[in-house]
Amino acid sequence: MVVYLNGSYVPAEQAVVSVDDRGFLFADGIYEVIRVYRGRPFRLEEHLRRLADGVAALRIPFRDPAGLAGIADRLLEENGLRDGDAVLYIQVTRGAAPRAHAFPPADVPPTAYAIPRANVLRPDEPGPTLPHEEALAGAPEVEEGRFKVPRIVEAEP
Amino acid sequence: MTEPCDRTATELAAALRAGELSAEELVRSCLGRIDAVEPEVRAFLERTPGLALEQARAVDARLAAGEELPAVAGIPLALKDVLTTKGIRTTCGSRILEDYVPPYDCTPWARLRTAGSVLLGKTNCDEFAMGSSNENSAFGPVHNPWDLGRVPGGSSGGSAAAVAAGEAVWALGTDTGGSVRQPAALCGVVGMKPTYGLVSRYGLIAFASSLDTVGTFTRSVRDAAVLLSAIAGRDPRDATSLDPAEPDLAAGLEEADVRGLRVGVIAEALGEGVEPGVRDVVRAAVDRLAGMGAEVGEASLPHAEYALSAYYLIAPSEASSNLARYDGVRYGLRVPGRDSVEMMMRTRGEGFGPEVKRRIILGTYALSAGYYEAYYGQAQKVRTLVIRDYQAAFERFDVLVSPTSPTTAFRIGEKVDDPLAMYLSDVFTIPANLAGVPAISIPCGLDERGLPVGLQITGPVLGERKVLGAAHALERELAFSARPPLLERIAPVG
Repeated sequence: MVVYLNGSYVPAEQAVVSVDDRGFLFADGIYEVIRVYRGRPFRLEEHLRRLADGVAALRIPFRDPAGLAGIADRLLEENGLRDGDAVLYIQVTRGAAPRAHAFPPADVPPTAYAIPRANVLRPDEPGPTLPHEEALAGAPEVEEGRFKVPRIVEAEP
Repeated sequence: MTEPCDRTATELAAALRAGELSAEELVRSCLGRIDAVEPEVRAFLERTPGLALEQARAVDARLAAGEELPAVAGIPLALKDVLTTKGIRTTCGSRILEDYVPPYDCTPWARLRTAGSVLLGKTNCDEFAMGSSNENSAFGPVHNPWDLGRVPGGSSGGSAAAVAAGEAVWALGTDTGGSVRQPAALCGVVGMKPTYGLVSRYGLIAFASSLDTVGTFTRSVRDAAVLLSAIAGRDPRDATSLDPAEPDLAAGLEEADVRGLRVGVIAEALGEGVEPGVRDVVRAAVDRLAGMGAEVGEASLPHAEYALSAYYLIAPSEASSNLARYDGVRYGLRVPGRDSVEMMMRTRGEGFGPEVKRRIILGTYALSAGYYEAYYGQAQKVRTLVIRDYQAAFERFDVLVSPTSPTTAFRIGEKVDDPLAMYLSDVFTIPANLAGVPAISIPCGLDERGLPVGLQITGPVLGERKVLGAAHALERELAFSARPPLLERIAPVG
C-alpha cells in the first residue's frame, strides 16, 4: 500500500508523523472521505472545495487543496485501484510544533496525509425474480400491469 | 395399539423404510385424527389434505423404487401460518392477510418439500405472532388438548396443539420471545428455538427482525434434532443466516451423557411469580439431572429481570417498522377511501387487531424523535447487559435450566384484559431471544391439575448439540409418557 504524506508517495509502513503533531495532541485538523467507484472518485471537486473551505475556516495554512486531485489519481494508480471500488481519506492537520495552545508560527507546514482503502463488495449478480403476473396476483387493484392506488394529492379546489 | 399419528418421526421413518407402514397410511392416520379432534382443538387455519396425499404417494413410489430418502420424507408436517407457502393461503392470523396467497415458499418449507416432507396445512397463531395464548388470532382461539377450556400458549399455539393432539407428527413455529417454547411447555411437547440465524427466515413474515427465529415442535428431542438439521443452514436470501457447526444434529445423540455436565439452575427463575406446581416439577427434574451425574450449581442472570421491559420496547419498535408494509397497495386487504391516505388508514384500522395496534403504537412512540435514546436506545443497552450475563454464566456452566413458563396452561379469557399479566408468561423465554442463544423446552411432568410443565435448557450461541444432548438424556431418564385426556377419550391405548 502506497500512501501520500507531505508531498511524497511512500509505503504505508514508512509513513510517520511527529508526536508533536497537533492533530495527535489537540485533534487540530480536518478530514475528507471520498467514495471511489470503478476507479473514479465521486464528486471529487466538491469534496476538495469543502476541504478548502474547512482549512480556510480553521485558518490552517494549507496552500493547495486543488492539487489533491492529482494525488487521488496517483494513489489509485499506485495501489492498483484504477478499476476498483474504494474510499479515499484525506487528513490535514495544523502540523507539528512544540506543545502550546496558541497556533504555531505561520511557517510551520501543515501535515497532509491521504490513503485509499479498497472496498470489498459482494458481486452484484442478478438472480431470478418474481414474474410480473405473480407479483401483481395479490394486488387489490391493478391497471395496465401496475398497482393502482387512489389519488394521492388532493385536486385543486 | 398406538396409532401411527401418535408416534415419533424417528420411529415412523424406520417403519416407512422397513415397509411396515406406507406414507399414505401414515398421512391418512393424521387426516383421520384431524377430522376427529379439529372441531374441539381448532389448531388449523387451512388444511391441505389433497396435497398431503399426493406428496405421501410420491414418497411411497420413491421408497418402492429403492431410493434413499432424507429422514423427513413422508412425515406429516404442519406449518405455522406466518411461514409463506406458494399457492397456499398464508394469513398470519390477521384480517389484513385473510386472502393472501403467497407467490413463493419460505426457505424452511422449500427445503422440507424438496426432501419429501408432507404438508397437512397451516396452523393458527396469534396475529403476526404477537401473543402468548393464541387468543389474538383474528380467527378464534386454539384449545389446549390437555384441557379444552385452556389456552395452548402462543404465539405458535396451533402448531403446539396439533403435535400434542396427534394431528401432525411435527410442526414448525416461530419464536421471537418464546412463541415456540412457551406453547410447547403448555401443550406437553418438545419445542426447540435454535441460535439466531441458524435457520433462514426468508418467507417468515417478519415481526421483530433482530429476534425472530424459526423453531420446531416435536414429540421427542431426537425428532427436534432431525427436523432442525433439515431446515438449518446458510441461505443467501437471509443475510443473517449461518451454517451450523455440525450439519447433522441427530448424529451421536444416543451417546449424549450428562455425567460431569455443568448445569446451572437460574436462581431468579425459581422465585416469586412461579406457580408452586411448576417449581416442584422443575426442581424434581433438576434433582434427576444431579442423580444422573450432572454437576448442578446455582447460576444467575442478574439483568434478566429487565429483559421483559427491554423486549417490549425492542420488539414493538421493530414491528412498527416491519408492519408498515401493510398499506393496501400490493397485496392483502384494501378498504377503499377518498384518497390514498384515507385508504391506508381505513385498511390498517380495520385490518389489524387490538394487540397488533397496541404494539405498532408503542413501537412508533419508542422510535419517535426525542424519545429514541430514552426508550429504544436504553433497551438496546439492557440487551447488551443480558448478553453479557449469558456469557458470564456460560463460563461456569455448559447449559442453564429453568422453568419454560411460570405457569401451566391458563384458562381461555383469563388474561385477555390484562396485557401485562399476559406478557409475564414469556418472562423466562425472552432473555434467550435477546441474546440469540439456543433453548429447548421439554415436558418434565404434570402439575396438580394434570397439566404439563416445561423445563427449559439453554446453551451458548451455536451450542445446539449441548442443548439437545442434555435434553435427550433427561428425556430418557424422565420417560414422560402422559397423554392429553382428549386422546384417551378418542384414541385409547391398549
